[in-house]
Amino acid sequence: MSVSEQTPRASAVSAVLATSRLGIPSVVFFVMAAAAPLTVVAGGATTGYAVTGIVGIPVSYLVVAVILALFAVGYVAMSRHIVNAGAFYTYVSRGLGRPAGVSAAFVAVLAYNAMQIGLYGGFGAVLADFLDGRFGWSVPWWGCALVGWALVGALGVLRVDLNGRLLAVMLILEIAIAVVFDLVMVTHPAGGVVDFATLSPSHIFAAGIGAALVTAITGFVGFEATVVFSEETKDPKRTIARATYISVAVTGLLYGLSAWAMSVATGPDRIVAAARADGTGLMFNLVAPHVGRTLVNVGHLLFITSLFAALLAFHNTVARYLFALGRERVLPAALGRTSPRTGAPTRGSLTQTVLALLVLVTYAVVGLDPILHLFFWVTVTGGLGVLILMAATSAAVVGFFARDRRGEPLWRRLLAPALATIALVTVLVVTIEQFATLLGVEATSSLRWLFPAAYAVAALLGVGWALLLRVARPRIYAVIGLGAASATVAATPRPVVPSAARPASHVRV
Amino acid sequence: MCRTARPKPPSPGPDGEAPSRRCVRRTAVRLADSFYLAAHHDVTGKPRLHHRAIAYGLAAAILAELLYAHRILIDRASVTVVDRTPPPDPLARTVLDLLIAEPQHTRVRVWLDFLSQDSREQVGQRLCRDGTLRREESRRMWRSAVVYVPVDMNVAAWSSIRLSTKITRGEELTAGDVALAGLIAQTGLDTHVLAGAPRAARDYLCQLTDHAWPPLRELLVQTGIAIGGGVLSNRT
Repeated sequence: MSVSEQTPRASAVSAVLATSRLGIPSVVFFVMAAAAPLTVVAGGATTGYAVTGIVGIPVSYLVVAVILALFAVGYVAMSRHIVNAGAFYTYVSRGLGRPAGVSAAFVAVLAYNAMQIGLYGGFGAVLADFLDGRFGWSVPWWGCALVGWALVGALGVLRVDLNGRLLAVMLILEIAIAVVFDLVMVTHPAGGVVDFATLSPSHIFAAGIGAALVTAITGFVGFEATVVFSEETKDPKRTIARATYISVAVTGLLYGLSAWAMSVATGPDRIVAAARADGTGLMFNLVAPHVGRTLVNVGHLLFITSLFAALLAFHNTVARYLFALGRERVLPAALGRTSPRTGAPTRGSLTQTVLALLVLVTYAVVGLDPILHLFFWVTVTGGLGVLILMAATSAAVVGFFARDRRGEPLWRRLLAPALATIALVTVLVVTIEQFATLLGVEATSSLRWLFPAAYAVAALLGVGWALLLRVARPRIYAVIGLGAASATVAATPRPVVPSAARPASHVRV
Repeated sequence: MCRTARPKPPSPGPDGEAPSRRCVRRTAVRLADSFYLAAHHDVTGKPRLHHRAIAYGLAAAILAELLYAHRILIDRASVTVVDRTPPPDPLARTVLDLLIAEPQHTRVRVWLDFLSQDSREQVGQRLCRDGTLRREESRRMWRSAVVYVPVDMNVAAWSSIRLSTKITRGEELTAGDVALAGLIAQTGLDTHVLAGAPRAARDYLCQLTDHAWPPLRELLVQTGIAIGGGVLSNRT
């Protein structure tokens, strides 16, 4: 808009808006920073091998990529028809009803907190390891984790987001270094033979595959955030869909390739033993004899920065989730307020920060292992939560379009989401069945039920809370899942009756 | 948007129908100016809100000026031009011309997105032209930034002080003041404007916006969606 400017007939409005909107690359970079490729490749895949003892990790990444691409079809289609498309619970509310929606919201808060807090274990241990190895400084893992915690907490409240360009550069470097390391590992195979055994589809039917699949799903968490930008993109119809598929494809191929390359370098029969011996250092140790020390150090540093980027991304995800729930008054309204100066969802951010501190302190005091007990156990539990959410969301897509087709073709509104629901529920059932393998504990251990049970409790609490709201706060209940504007929309029934003439029962709650 | 119902304060105006032209001309024509002054520091001219809230608040204020001047109407999230007579103010005139020239864009959100691109600059310049602000260039690092500094802090502070006093006392508000109050509530500026005010003042503010003239309320809802959406997509 310029006062002096003459308006051409070709839409000046559209032209101006297009300049401020996001294109495919921005969306892809943003969500892939949360997925943090190097964190998954160097941390998730190696720990996955070590803890679960399953060699089918590489093929699991590929299978999960396919399932998630299928899931994305209906998910992206539905995102075009709803406000507040960024949150899973919105889909579930609109597709399966409000009690299910609030239930999903509680599960989501738990799951994303688990993802974020679990990452502190990885960040602390890897940074402490790096400082010890490079400089000989002996710092406890929780010391490093607390430094990361303080930084994330401060950046979250100040709403300083990592610069988009910086994220893009880091992401490209991460991918580049992973690919270089992969090439090095593949060109130096154990026993001189490149073995494709870990990519064999036969692993999908092997015992314990549920553990491998949920490990893989955990690596992809973050890709679902593409739809958050649906109102901010140049062409919402295409940009979001393409960005989502690109993210899934790039990460899937990279994860599969890297996990496979490691198994080539060690030999498929030795990968589990090597991962147990070297932990998150495995990939770096495998390439160290063949590349310069500098490159290994760069790889290590990028591993640490990628962990940090993921920490911040998931912190913001939790803060935004709490903000959205606060705005809808499903949770206390205070969570829905933002700082006037920065626009940061301050209370949501602080809540997450405090929660993370409590967990970190507990782990440090009890003396649990940061990689196994915090990084792996807690993030895969987060992955399990997101798996539950995706299964519910997929079913919700079917339910949503069953009521009104909204001009979407059969594939997008029914076939793809139904297939995705079946696939995700199958993975979910297998995962819960094999949770002991996932945690690396005895089949009789009560821990195998403890983690999944947390979600059952959250889900039940959600349903209970929704039913309570329906009775006690019907106005709030009525707008669950309507998005950030719901608070005001709630107060705005079609304004034909003058306020004075409104019955007393219509006063706000 | 209110949590509790309070005894009803004096009605802010006839509900459901447009405020009278005379009262509009006096109070609402410079709504964007009032919001600009309230949203910036009265001495330094620095923003009190994050840029997205200011940009969308001002964009909504510009549309509200046209709405109260009976040039446009807002209904169910869409905007229509009802009177093509050019308004006297150049900024309002340009925006109305654009609305007339591009009737294919009817969604309020599209116009808010569009106007928010440079609403701060436009309204700042308008306030410069009438001598309320003066333009200053400050050089920080290698970039130069333009700051609009109030010429007289009393004038600059007046709009928010006046409104806060009226709301705190539960006085009847003019139509223009209701619009300003609504924008202040919607952008989160109420934490500043009503700082230290009793709870009843906040409830009154809630009630004012809830019972506002329906087209205005539509506009406020859309503004809230735009600003809230920015929080969710991390773009504030």
